[in-house]
Amino acid sequence: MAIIVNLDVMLAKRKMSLTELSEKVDLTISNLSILKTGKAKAIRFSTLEAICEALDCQPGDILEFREDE
Amino acid sequence: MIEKIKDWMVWAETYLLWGMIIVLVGLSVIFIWEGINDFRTFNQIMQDEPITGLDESEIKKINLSFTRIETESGRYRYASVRNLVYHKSQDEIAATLQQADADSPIAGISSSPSFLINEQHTDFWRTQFILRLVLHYGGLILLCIFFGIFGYLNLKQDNKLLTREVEQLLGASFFLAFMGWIGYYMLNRWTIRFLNSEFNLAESTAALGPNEIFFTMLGLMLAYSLIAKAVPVQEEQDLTV
Repeated sequence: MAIIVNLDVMLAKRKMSLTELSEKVDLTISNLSILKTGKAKAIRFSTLEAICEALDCQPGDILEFREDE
Repeated sequence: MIEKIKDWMVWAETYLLWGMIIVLVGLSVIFIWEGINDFRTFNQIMQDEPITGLDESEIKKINLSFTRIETESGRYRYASVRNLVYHKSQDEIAATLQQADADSPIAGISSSPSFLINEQHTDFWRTQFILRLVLHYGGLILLCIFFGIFGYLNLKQDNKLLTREVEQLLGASFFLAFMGWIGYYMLNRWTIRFLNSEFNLAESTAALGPNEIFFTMLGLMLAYSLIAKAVPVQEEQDLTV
């Protein structure tokens, strides 16, 4: 996968649990887990906006492009 | 308020599923009872003992009718075949009528001809009846079971229709309908071969399975191909957060 999701890194930086984030962004824990573990195929702008707002960060802090080896 | 509505919907769905299962179990019991009843009636028609309170007993199922008539001159049994496709021309009918005696039965003129059942033919008609009965009621009961599984899967997967399990269920239904159609085709063909050899009926052996099963099969195939295409889209949708 060329797009890496750094949600776990941002959660650790903000010292926030997944449960706490799920309550703030109104998403289920299972959906956030899909995103965190890199299983997600796509992310909605509204989800990205809510996560950025909750974690006080930029989209680039959560998503990262890395070339396939 | 929204939470309460959601809770109520979950309860309603659960009760709906139980209601559906009870209806399907009830239907299955009715089909089994009807099958046993038809089998008893058939045995009554075939037995030699007089039928109490009846001088005629008839069973009309699965394109075959069996009738027993008790008259002063004797006891007669005959089988009527309803799905013969071959029709004789007017000239042939006229020739047959001219040659026939007043007392002899004329077979094969109408689309539902009747054939007297003698001792030699009893085994054939019995086998035909039992196989068609099993195919008919067995198919209906399987349909109930499939609807039950479909309802259960639907509820278990949050009312999602486009899932791999539903796709597999539809695939299995299509296969069963196809087997049923083949089964009827073989039975019809066997009947026609028998009639042709025993009664010189000259019926075409290119008999087809019943149209109802054929169209069910087409519908299932269409639904299966649509769901098979939609499931990957749904799966991708499920992985969109």
